[in-house]
Amino acid sequence: MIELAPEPTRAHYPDQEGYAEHGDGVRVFYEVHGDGDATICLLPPWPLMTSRSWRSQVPYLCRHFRVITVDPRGNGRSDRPREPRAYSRAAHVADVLAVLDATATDRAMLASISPRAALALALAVEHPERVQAVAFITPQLWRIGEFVRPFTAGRRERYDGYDKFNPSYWKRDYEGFVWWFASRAFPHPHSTRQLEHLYEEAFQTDPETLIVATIGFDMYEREEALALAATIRSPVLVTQNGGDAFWPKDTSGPLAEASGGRLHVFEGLGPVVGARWPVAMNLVLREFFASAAEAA
Amino acid sequence: MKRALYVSSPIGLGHAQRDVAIARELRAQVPDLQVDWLAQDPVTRVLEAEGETIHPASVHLASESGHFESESAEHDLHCFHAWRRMDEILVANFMLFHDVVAEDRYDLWIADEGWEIDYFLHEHPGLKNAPYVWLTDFVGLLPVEDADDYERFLARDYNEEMVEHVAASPSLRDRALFVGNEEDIVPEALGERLPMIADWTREHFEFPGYVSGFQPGQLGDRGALRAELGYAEDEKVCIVSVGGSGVGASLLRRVIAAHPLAKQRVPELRMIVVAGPRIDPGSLPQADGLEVRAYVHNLYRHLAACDLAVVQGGLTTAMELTANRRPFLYFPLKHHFEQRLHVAWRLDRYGAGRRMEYDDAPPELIADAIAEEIGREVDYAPVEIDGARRAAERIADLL
Repeated sequence: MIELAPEPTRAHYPDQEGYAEHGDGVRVFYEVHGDGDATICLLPPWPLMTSRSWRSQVPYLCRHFRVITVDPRGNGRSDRPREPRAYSRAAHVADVLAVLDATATDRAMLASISPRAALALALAVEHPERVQAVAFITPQLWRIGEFVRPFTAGRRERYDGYDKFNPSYWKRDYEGFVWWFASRAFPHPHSTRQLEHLYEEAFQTDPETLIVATIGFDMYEREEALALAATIRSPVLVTQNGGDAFWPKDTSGPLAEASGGRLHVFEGLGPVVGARWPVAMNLVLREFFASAAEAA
Repeated sequence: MKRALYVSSPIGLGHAQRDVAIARELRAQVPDLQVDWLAQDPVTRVLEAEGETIHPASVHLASESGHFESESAEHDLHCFHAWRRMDEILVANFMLFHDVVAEDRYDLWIADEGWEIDYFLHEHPGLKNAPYVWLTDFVGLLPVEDADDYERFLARDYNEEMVEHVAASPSLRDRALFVGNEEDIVPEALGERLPMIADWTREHFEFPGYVSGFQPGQLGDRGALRAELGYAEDEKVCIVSVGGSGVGASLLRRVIAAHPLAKQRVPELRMIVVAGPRIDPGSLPQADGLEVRAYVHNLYRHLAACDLAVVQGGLTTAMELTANRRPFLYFPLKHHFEQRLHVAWRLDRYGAGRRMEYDDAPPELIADAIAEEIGREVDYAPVEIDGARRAAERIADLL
C-alpha cells in the first residue's frame, strides 16, 4: 500500500456533513457547502474517485449556490459493500434521494461526471419533481467497447494499454492500473497535482471494491437512454472536452440533441477539464446553473 | 477617476509593506487614483492600520497563511510543497478575483506574488480585460539541498510551465517588475535544458530596485527615534521577530531560552520578542526582564532603532535591517528554498546578517552570537531608497 500524504487545507469546509442511508444498510457520506437559494448536487463519481474530485468546483459554486457533494458507495467516507448488487444504478438513485431528504432539499440541480451520467439521467426521468436541472460532464450512458472488451477478457499473460481495464490486472497490480488510468486522464504536461489527487482518492479504496462497483452499476442501452433523455423537461447542459479523447465522445452530441440541451465543447481542453482547467469548467457550470435557477 | 485593484501575497507580511509604499507613490503620481485591495490576513492588518480600502469581497478569500502554517513543522516549512498543496485554495481565490473584476471594471490590476492571478490568467488569457502588473522578488522554484528526484522533477516542471506561459502570452504581463536588482538573482538554471534564471529574468522583467516599506531618511535621527520608542541610551536592545506568519514560534522559544544566558554575557541587554499577528503571545514562555509583545505596527522603526535583531530568513525584514545597517542573526527555515537560496544569496551580496542554522544552534550558541553581534558596526552595501517610486513610475504609465 502506498503512503498517502495528509489532506491539505481545504478552500472551503462543509457547513454541514453527515451520513444518509435508505434501508440496505449502506451509509453514504455527504457534505453541504454554502447557503444559496438554489441547490446543486454534485453527484458521486465512479468510486476510483471520491467526492473530493469536485474540489476545484465546490468553493466557487458554494459562493453562489448551496452545494451538496456525495461520496460514492465504495470510496471516500461512504461504506464499501462487497457484492455487485449493492452498486446498482437504483441503489445510487436511492442514495442521492436519501441525501436530498437528509439535507431537507426539495429540488436540486445535478452535475455528473462520465459514467455517472446514467445516474443523473435516472434521477431526472424517474424523479423529475426533485430535479431542477442537469449538467452532464463528458457523459457516458451506455457501455463502451474499449472498456467492456478488456474488462471481460479474463486473465491474460500481459496487460498493455486498454488491457489494463481488467479485474485480474487490478487485483494483480492496482497501482499499475491507477497509474495507467491517471496518466490517460491527465496526459497534458504540468498535471502533477491532478495525478496526485487521483492517486490519493484511488488508494482510499481497493481493487476488490472497485471491481464489484464496476460490475454492479447498470448502464443503459443506447436507444433506451436517448429515448429517456427526450423526456427530460428541466434545463440540460452537456459538456464535452475538446482535447485528446480517452473516453469516446459518441454520447455528448446525441444526448444534447435528444434532451434539447445545450452542448458546450471545451475547445482544446481535456479530457478532465474540471480538474485540469477548473476555471473554464467553473464558469460554464455557474452560468448554466444560474440561468436554470432563474428560469425556475 | 481611475481605479486599481491590488492583490498582495498574504504569505507573511513582507509584501504588504512594500505594496503600501508602491500604492502611495502611485497615488502621488496619478491624481484621483483609487486603489482597492483584495487582501486577507495578515495583509489586512497592515492595510487597516494604513487606512487603505479593502474590497468587501476579501472576506471570501481562502486562507493562504493558515495553509502554510498547517504545512509547517518545527522551524521547518517546505514552501514549495506547501505552495503546490495549496492548489485548491489558489483556484478558489482566483475565482473570487474573477468575480470581482467581472462585476466591477478596474483600470489596472496589480498582483505582488498573487500566484493564482498570474497562473490562471496565463492559462486563460481571454479573461484579462485590464492592464496587468506582476511583481515578484524571486524567479525560479528551486529544489532544496536534500531534495529527492521527484522534487527536482517537479521544480523543473513548474519552471518550464512558467517559461511556456510567458512565451505563449508575451504581452499578458503589461509590466513585470522584479523587486530588486539583476545582481540579486541566484546563479542557477531554471532546470535541466532550461535557461539560467538571470538570463530569463533579464529578458522578461524590469528592475526598479529593492522596494522598501519605508525610507530610511524619514526615520530621522536614530537617537531621537530610540528616545521616542522608549529605548534608553545605555540599553542594548535586541528585537526578536519572525515576521507575519505563524511558523516561527519554535524560533521564538529557542531565543527566549537563550535570554538568561545572553543577559549574563550582555548585562545591558533588553530583549523584546514580537510574536506577530498570528502567534498568541500568551502561548510563549514568560521570564523576568523579557518583554513579549503581540503585533507591533511599523516594526521597521523598532528594527531601525535596535542594537541587534534576531529574525527568520524572510526577505523584507532582513532587507529592512540591511537598509538600516543593523547587525542581525537570521535563521532560514528548513526546506524553505526562497529563504535558504534566494534571500541568502541576496544578503550575501550586501554582506548583511549572520546566518545561523536552527538545528545547530542551542541556546548557548545563540547567546554567544548575540553577545558578539550586538551593537557591532556593520559594512553592508547600501540599499537604494527609491524603489517604490521607480516601481510606481513603471506602473503609472499604464493608467
